[in-house]
Amino acid sequence: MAKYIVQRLLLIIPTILLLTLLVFVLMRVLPGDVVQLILGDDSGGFVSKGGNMSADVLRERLGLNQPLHMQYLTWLWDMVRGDFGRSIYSNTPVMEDILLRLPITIQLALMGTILGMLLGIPMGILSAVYHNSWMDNLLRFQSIMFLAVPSFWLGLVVILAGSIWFNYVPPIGRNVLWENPIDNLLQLMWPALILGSSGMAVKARMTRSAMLEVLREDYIRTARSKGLAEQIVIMRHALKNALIPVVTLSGLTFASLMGGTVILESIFAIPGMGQLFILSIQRQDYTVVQSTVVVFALVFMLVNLVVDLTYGWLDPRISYS
Amino acid sequence: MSKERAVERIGIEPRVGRRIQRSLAGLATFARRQPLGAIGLVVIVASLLAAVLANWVAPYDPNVGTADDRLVGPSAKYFFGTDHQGRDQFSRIVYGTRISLMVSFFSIALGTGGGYLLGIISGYIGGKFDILFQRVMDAILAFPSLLLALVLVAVLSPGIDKVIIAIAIAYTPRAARVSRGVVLSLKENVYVDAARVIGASPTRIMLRHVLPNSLAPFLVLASVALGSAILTEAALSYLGLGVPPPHSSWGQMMSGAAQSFATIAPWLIIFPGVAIAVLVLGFNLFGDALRDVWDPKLRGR
Repeated sequence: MAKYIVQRLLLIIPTILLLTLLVFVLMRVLPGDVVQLILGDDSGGFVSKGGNMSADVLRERLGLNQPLHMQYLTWLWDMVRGDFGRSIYSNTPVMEDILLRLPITIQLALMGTILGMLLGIPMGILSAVYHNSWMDNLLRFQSIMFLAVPSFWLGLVVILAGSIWFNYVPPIGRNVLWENPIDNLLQLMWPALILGSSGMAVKARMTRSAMLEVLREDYIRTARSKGLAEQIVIMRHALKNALIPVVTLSGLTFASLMGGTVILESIFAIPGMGQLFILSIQRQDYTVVQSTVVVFALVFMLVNLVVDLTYGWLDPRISYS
Repeated sequence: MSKERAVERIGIEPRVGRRIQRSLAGLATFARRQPLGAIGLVVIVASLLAAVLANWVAPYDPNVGTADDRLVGPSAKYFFGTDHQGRDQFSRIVYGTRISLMVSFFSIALGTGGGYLLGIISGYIGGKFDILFQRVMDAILAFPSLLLALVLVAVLSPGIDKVIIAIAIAYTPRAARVSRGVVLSLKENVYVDAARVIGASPTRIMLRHVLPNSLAPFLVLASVALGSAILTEAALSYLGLGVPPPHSSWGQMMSGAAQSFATIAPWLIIFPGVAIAVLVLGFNLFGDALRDVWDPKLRGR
């Protein structure tokens, strides 16, 4: 087991190298000179406020005088040491901002995933057990509906309906779970439900088809002929085996959930990574953009690793040697 | 016999006539067996018509407003109401169909189509190239696709072609993954061995044997990807990083001024969203039905 984890962690390294290289290249092909961009910027960034730094000094400070491969290696080494550089816009260390915002986004994505599973898996079970009934058709139709509705539109409608009929405005500002839990949950509840609703649709479909497959297996017939109650057959024998692909999928959709947080955080004014990402794209704050992208990708890869490891627990037939 | 003669009399060549007949019969069977898929197809065809015939379908100019009719609710005159500049929402949505369909068709043709081909080639060649290719695809897959598209558009600067390229790149790896899997299993078939034994070149095997047989999974993948590309384009446009203003696009209709007036004019938010949902639903239903038809293992699930 330990050996397998180490192997998987080592396999992440080439992917990270490629990924950071991709981000680096992308940021360097940005049309226009970053230095000119900053100096010509009058949007209130620190450089424009600070005023009269010359182009050469700024270039030196951003390390743009070095050859490209050195720039890349320096950036990589700094990240390994936990230094993401300073924001071009606000001159604060990027790491500080990310540490403040990452927990909120992870909490949101986790809440979305859990809500999606809590809603989707029972729906999938019902659909499979009452295969081809009106309930099955209804559940299938609603899950395909939820896949088609844009999540940012649901967000807008929730805010709109809340303010028109219920005089409801979601709390804004930074609310951390362990400091003011009520505001935190009130703030994240709706976006998490919206994130969960599309996850629910995917998971319901997956659970349904996995359950249908498993219910045809021999061991299910054995369990039934032993005279076990149908409930026990479904919950203990079928569900546990059907859940394996659903867990994989939940891990994979976690990435798209992180993508979904980007737009929902902007709509609900939640100070998380997604909002930071959009803001820094708008401010052309490229140090922040490249750092947030790397962090998003890292989180995704770690989640995938965790998902792979939970297999062993769900399906003892899989061994990691 | 008499049918053929009738066709001949109309002046269509019999072979073509029979082919038309056969495909119509095929469509009828499809509609009977897959009613939901048929609904999806109707939605897709209707949107295509609306996009092509926008000049005739839309009652007003989408970009010119009537100053006296600002923020008018839905009525017989303005089906979906008007915005803060007095522009007809219905006409704007009809014209918006063009952007949505154009962006999704081109980005999927480029991204999903290109990725699918790359995956086939990589899976067929195998070896070091395959390993390297997979690592690159993994690296791209580690970004959420919306995030990747956002960065790309920001880097490339806005424009309809840039949006298409950004979505295409974000959708490439998933297609490559699917097709690589398809090819790896196709390669094991006896007829591929047979072709190799009689001395067919790899190019010929790929073009004549592998490609045609991997077409069905491609169409299924593409029809669902078309739906999600529409969602991605809408999200980009909503964030102001999509198709730039003179064009009316559904995502952009919901951003900016529409949000400030939303409480007094909710139709500004409601209708564009419904339009997106209906079109995406159409593609998803159609894709699902295609999968049922082509993959008998999944039938009735």
